[in-house]
Amino acid sequence: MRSVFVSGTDTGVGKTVVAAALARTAAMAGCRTATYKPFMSGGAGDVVVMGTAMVGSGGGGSGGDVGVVPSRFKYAFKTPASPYTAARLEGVDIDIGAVLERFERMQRDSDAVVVEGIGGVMTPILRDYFVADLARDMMLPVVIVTSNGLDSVGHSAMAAHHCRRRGAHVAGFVVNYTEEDGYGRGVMSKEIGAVAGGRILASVERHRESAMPGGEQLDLRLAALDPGIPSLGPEADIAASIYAAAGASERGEVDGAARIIFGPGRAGGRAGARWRRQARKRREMRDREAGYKGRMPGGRTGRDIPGRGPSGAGLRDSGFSSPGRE
Amino acid sequence: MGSLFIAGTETGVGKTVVAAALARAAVKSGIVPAIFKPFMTDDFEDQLAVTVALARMSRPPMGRTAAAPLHYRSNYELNSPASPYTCMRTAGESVDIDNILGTIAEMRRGAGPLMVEGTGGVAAPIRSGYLMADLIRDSGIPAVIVTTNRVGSLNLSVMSAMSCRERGAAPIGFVVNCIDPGGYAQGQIGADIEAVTGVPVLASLGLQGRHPPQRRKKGSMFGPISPFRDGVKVYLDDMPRGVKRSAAVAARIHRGGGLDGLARVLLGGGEGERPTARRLGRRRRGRKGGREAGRDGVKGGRRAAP
Repeated sequence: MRSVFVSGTDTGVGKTVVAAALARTAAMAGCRTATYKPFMSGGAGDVVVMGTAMVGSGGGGSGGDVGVVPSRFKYAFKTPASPYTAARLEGVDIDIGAVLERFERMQRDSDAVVVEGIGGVMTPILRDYFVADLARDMMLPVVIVTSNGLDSVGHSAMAAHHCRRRGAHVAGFVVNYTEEDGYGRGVMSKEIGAVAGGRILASVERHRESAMPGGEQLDLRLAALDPGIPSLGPEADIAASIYAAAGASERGEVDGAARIIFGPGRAGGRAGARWRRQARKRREMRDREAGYKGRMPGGRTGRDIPGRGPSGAGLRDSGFSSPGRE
Repeated sequence: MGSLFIAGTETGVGKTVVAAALARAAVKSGIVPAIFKPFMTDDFEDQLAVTVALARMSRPPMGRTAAAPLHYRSNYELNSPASPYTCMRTAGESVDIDNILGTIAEMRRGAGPLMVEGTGGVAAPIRSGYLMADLIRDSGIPAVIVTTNRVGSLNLSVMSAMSCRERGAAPIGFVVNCIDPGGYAQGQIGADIEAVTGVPVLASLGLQGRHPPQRRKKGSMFGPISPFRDGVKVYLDDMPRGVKRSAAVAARIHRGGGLDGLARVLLGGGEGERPTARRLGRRRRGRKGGREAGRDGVKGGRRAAP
């Protein structure tokens, strides 16, 4: 149950890079990690990035229970627009139930699922159903990716506010320093705390040159993972994103965030604990309606969930031990 | 006279250009508008853009006097491109909201319509816990939100409209500035914003908000622009490029007629009367057939210009 929903303030702030870096860090620490991008529009680049960035992470099906599940999407639209717009233009009916069902299945099969939203937190999926609603219904804490551009503070405040208003828990922010002359680190951390009311989990240096070990082999290994994923090809921006994600992960820029999200610590402090209580109640209510009897949606009991019950040793041994526990 | 708060979803969506085009429409009909930009960042570029847009008008309409000096005011000059809160905090000060509200009240008492132009998006922080949306509410001026058609703008539009509404500053409508040729289609983004937010789109500007400025023949430029600051004459050739471009874009938007409905409301509104969405909607629908005519009008205007 250590999954996370990666959303952002805007399109192009680096959600995919952050999501892929988080997934890679989790996979390298030994979590069976899956990535999920339920909605895609205008090409499959993000899926390729998230699937590929994990390839060199030491997982890749090489040993035992450590593995990588490449990213999948449920709805792929050709039109580069919000799912609401694209679905209407292409005559597709979006079934949120199917999206949630696939997510539950992925969560059952892995220790951690990194879900990436589309657009920002209030990008409409249906006319009155937004990305924030999807995060709430998946019962996942939201990581809001923001840039350090001129409007980033205001947009972060709005994004966090709307997430919370719609019942999703904001675990924190990841600042992607895309602008060389934007806000600096000191300003960002102060303003995000004061204006948006949240903490910065990680800072990613997007503009720094990154190289990924074994980059030439990416294409082949990707094809071996899932023939459904299109080949990497010469698209430079996709490759750049992959390198950026792998670089951020290798440099340890998202380690802190990964420890909070995937580790045994209590993500989000007191507010997070309150939110988890509410989420548990919601989950129990839903399970009652669905006819479960004291069992969690994955067919597992609460005791079996890694890092939770007495038998859940999985994550505690996985490299995400918080310093306080040692 | 009516008044209007011109807010935006983010920086660079075209608030200044919209304000300048509206000012131009006002001056064309012989009314001098006042423009108040509480926070100015780019070293007076906005103010220059508005002034130049007015000065570039070919001729005052027949029988009317030339444009009287425009009232353009700003209370805070920010020294770095950042939100007012950040700038002031860095300087060890904080923004005095009452001062801004006082200026707005004072300027509203003037003869012409007042346009207040925001800075950044509606969530741009002014003080800790006080955003641009709060200023919209406290000023009591009906607000339009300028947004674009780029991919990702639907998210920002929805967030902006909802934030405003929650803070008691329900916007009367959107102005969609279609600056991205690769973004949503002009009709598409308007329809989607209306459907998802429930806020009407009052004006949708085509790509005229984006094209590089038309080349004008030499000699058709104007001489010194009207005295604009402390009696200092400003010459068009001395203008920074960005200013000239903004002014040209504003002029093109004005010629295109996309903001006519909004301008009518701004100019025709009586004392204290709010331009309601319904009134605007009726006008907009009435104009639907006239859109072609408007386009023809532009052509005619161009032919007549030299």
